[in-house]
Amino acid sequence: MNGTMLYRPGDSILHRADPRAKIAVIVVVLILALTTTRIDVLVALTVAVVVGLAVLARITPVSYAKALVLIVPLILLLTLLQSLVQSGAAIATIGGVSLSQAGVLLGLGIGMRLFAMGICFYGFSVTTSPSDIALALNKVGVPYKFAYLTSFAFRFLPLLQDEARTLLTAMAVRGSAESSSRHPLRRGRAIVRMLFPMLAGSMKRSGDIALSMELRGYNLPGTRTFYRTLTFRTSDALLLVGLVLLAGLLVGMQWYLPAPFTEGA
Amino acid sequence: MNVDAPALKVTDLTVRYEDADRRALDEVSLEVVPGEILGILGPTGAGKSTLLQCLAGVIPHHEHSAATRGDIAIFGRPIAEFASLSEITETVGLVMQDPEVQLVNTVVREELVWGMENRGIPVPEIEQRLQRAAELFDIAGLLDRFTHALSGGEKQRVVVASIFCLSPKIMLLDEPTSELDPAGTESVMDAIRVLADEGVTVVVVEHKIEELAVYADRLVAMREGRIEAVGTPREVLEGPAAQDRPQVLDIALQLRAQGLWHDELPLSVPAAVTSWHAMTTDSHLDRTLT
Repeated sequence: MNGTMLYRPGDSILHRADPRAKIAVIVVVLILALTTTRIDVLVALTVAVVVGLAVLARITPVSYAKALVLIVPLILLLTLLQSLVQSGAAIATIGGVSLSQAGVLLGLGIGMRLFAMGICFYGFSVTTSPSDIALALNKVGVPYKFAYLTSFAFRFLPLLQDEARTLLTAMAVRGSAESSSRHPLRRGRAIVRMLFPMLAGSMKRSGDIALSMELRGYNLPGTRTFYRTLTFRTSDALLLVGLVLLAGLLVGMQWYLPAPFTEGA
Repeated sequence: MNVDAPALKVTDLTVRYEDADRRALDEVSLEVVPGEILGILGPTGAGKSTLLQCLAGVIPHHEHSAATRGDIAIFGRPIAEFASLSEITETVGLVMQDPEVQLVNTVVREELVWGMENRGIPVPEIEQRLQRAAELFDIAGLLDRFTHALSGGEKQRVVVASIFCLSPKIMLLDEPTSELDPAGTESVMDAIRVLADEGVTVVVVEHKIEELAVYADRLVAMREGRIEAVGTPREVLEGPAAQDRPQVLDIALQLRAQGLWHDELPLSVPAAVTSWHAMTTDSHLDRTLT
């Protein structure tokens, strides 16, 4: 599948894992990331996620390098802003401007959280078939009509990408230098210009899609059958055991290890 | 459902879209018998797609802005008596023009089974219908492919197959072969013929007149919202209402005008070859005898 966040079939441990187990992993990572204020715990969590994806799904940072190009500057910008607005001891002074240590830690903490959660979601979406996501959500209690919409969103991401590409090409062949420019600002202008026709096209298309779904019984009352089934295997149980151990380790780190710096985040 | 009644009966159907300067359909009346393939011809704007949407119940059950008058009955039951579009879809399947908006799942196999799952069809039967559709529409090799990665023609075949899987008694197809090459077109039309032979009623809007001339049992020629002619392909295509004809028929008509074609007018190339062969053999025989 083209596109960075879309499902890529494979045969890794995570590809074969029950999506419910993977959802549990995401929930635990989210809880850990959002409840700790310690930078060392966040670093350990991020490392665990990166290593876990590399080992269990063969997804290395090279796979999400494009996303890193966006995330890393964002983390640096957040850190810089926090270091300027937070008070407390200065970590450095540049040209008479003090950078607060608490601010740096806070910014890095926020960045680490975003990174760990984002990469975790990335790993989930590239290793899980959209229909399996819908099925798993349904099995954990989400009504099918809502669960299906997650699968549906993944179906239409490539469609939007194709439409965007077609519109940019159409602009380029009619002499728009911006649409084929490699300069980010010029390219950005072309993308802004393309957004309205793309939105208008999507709105028009959404009516036809809704009709098409209704024609195939999306709104029918009554019991639905499921062609595919999910099987929770021993390997999934082991994945959850590993997750519990990781969570225990990180919580233990937070409780028993002294904070390496002043608490930042 | 009254199985003795016409599969579809349209009486004085008139449709006008909001802000339109003329009627999309104007007093259209029509009957389609069970198991028949009815082809609808006509230029753009003739009202062909609107007619299909009315037959499927999309107008007025889904598209509310169009003003309608007249009646449609599906196996004798007035369409207005159906509570919802979903109820109509248990009898009538509609394949729309754009395959892209009809593929709502990521993988072809999921696309084919999705509608059956929605209807609560047991899994063993889903599997049977899936295999049948894959065979009939020649898509067995596509089952594990991503829907967005298919070619236009492949998408079209998958969309028709996904409606076929629902086993509707009536199938309405809006240009189902527009993105198909000649081999793909023949494959889909062959499948349609098989469905009709099994008792499914098929109404197909198609611009590929050569195909309709061969596969349809009857043709309807439309223009500006009105039916100009109804009859067998020969009656419609040889008649004055035909706006377009198979090239081979045009050639034969010109040859007949010059006194060079004496046999029955052909609707397809194989028929033309047979006639030509018969005519030339006869003339050879005439010359030999004299």
